Amino acid sequence: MPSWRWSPEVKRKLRTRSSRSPPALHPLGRPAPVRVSSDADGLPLAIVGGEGCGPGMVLQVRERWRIDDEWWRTPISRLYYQVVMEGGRNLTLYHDLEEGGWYRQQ
Amino acid sequence: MTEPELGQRREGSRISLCLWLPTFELRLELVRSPGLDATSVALLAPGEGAGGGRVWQISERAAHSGVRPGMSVSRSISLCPSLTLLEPDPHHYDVAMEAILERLSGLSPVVQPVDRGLIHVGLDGLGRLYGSPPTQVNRVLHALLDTLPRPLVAAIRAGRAPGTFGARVASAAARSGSPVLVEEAELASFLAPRPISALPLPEEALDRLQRLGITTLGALGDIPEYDILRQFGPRGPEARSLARGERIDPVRSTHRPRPIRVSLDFPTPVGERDAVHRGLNRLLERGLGRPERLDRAIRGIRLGGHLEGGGSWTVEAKLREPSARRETLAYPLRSRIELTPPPRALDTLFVEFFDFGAPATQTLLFDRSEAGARARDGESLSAGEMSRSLREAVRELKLKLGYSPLYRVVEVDPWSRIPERRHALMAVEP
Repeated sequence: MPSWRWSPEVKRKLRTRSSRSPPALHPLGRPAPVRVSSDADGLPLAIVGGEGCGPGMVLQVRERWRIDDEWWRTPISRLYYQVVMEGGRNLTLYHDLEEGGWYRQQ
Repeated sequence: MTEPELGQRREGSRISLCLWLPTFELRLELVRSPGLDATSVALLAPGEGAGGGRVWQISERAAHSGVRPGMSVSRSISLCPSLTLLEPDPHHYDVAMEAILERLSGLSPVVQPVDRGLIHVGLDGLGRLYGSPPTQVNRVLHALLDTLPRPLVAAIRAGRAPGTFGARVASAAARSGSPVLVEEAELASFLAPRPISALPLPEEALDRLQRLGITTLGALGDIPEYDILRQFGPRGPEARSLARGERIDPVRSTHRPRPIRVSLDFPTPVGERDAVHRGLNRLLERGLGRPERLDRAIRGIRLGGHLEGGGSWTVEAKLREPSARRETLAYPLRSRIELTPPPRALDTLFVEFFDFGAPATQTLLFDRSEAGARARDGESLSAGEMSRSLREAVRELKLKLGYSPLYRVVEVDPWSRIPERRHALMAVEP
C-alpha cells in the first residue's frame, strides 16, 4: 500500500488536465454491415438487409477492385464492388476477405 | 452525461405493451348513451351523412343481423330495421384519446399512439418501479380507470412483448381481462402459428401469400430470404424478419406539444360556407396572437365544430412548411371544408394548433450583414474559428446536452486507401 497521497494542488491540476483532453474524433464514412446474397463466384446478387440500408436487387456490378493493406499488424483485405441497385441507386459494397462479412462503404 | 457515438444513439423502449381497444369510437358512444347498449347500433363513417353514407363500426347485435362495417346505410337498415344510426363525434373521441395518453405519460416516458384506441407503452426500465411484468401490465390497466369507465378498461386487449410488432400480435391474441405476455426467448415460437394478416403488408401481397399456401408467420419465416426478396421486393425480407421475431422495432415516444385552442360560439347555428370561412379567419388571428404560441410556426392545424343537435365535425391539415401566416394556414383548411363540409349547421367553431415547427423568427447564427458572409463563416468554422453568436449557441447546447452537438470535418489521413480513415468529425468546442 502506498503511504503517500496526491496533494490537493496536484489533484486540481490533474482534474484541469483531464477536462482539457482533446475531443473525440468520429471517423467519417465508417462501413456499415449488410447482409448480401451472392452467387457461386462471390458476386453480390442482392442486399437482403442491413444497417441503414433496405433490401434490394443488384442490377449491375459496375466495378470491382481489391485493397490489401497493413499486413504488418492487423491485415486488411477487402474486395470492393460498385453496384447499381434496382431503382438506379449506386452503392459501394465490400466483402471482408479476412472475416468474411459484407459491408456498405459510405 | 457521456457523449453518444454518432449514429449509435438508441432511442425508445424495446419492450412494448400494446393496448388495443377495438371499435374504440363506438364503445365511447355506448358509454355516453348506456340505453343503446342492448340495441343494434351502427356508427356512421366520419364525413358521411345518414343519407347516402356507409356504416363504420357496428355493435354485436347489429352484426348478428348481418350488418357489416362498410355497408351502405340503406342496405344495413333493410337487414336490421331496428338499427340505431349514430353520427360520429370525432372531437369527443380525440378528447378521450388525449386523456388516455396523458394518463399513460405519467406511468412511462415512452408512449406511442398509433391510432385511436391503439397505443404502445414502453416498459424498459420500469421493473424497479412497478415490479414483475404481469404487475406492470396490471398497473397500467388500473391507471386507466382514472380516465376511462370500467367497462372500457375491461374491454382493452393488452399484449406485452419485445418490439411493437410482437406486442401488437400479442394484443390481438389477448382476450379482455387476460393480457398475453411474451418473453424474449419465446417470441419466435409465439409468432410462428399466428396468421400472416398481422404483417404490415399491402392487401395484394397478403392475398398472394395466402394463394401460395403461406398462411402463418412461421411458414413465411421458413422461406429463404433471397426467394422472398425476388418475389415480394424489399418489403419481403422486412416482413420475414418480423415474422421470425428477428426485427424488433422499439416503441418510440411521440412528442405531443400542448395544443393551442381557440373557439367561437355562434349566437344562432351557422350553415353557410362564407360564415364558416369568416369564423375560421377570426379564429386563426386569435390563435396566432396567443402568447403561449411562443413565436412558433404552425405545422398541424385542426378545424372543428359542434353540430346543431349533437355530434361534432373536424377537418385537419398538416403543412409541409410550418407557417405563422393566416392565409397560408387557412388555405388547406378551406380546401378540406370543400371536400368534407359540416353535415349540419354549427353551434360552435374551434381551431386547434396541435403541431409546431421552428420559431417563425429565427436568431441568426451566421453574420448576414454583408453578401457572402455565411460562406465565409462556414470556412472559418472549418478552420476552427467561430462567430460570437455561434459560439454562444454551442455553449448553450453543451450546457443543456452535456456535450457539443456541433462537429466539423477534419482531415486525418486523406491519402489512406481505407476510406474511413481519411476524414473525421471533431466536436466543436466553444
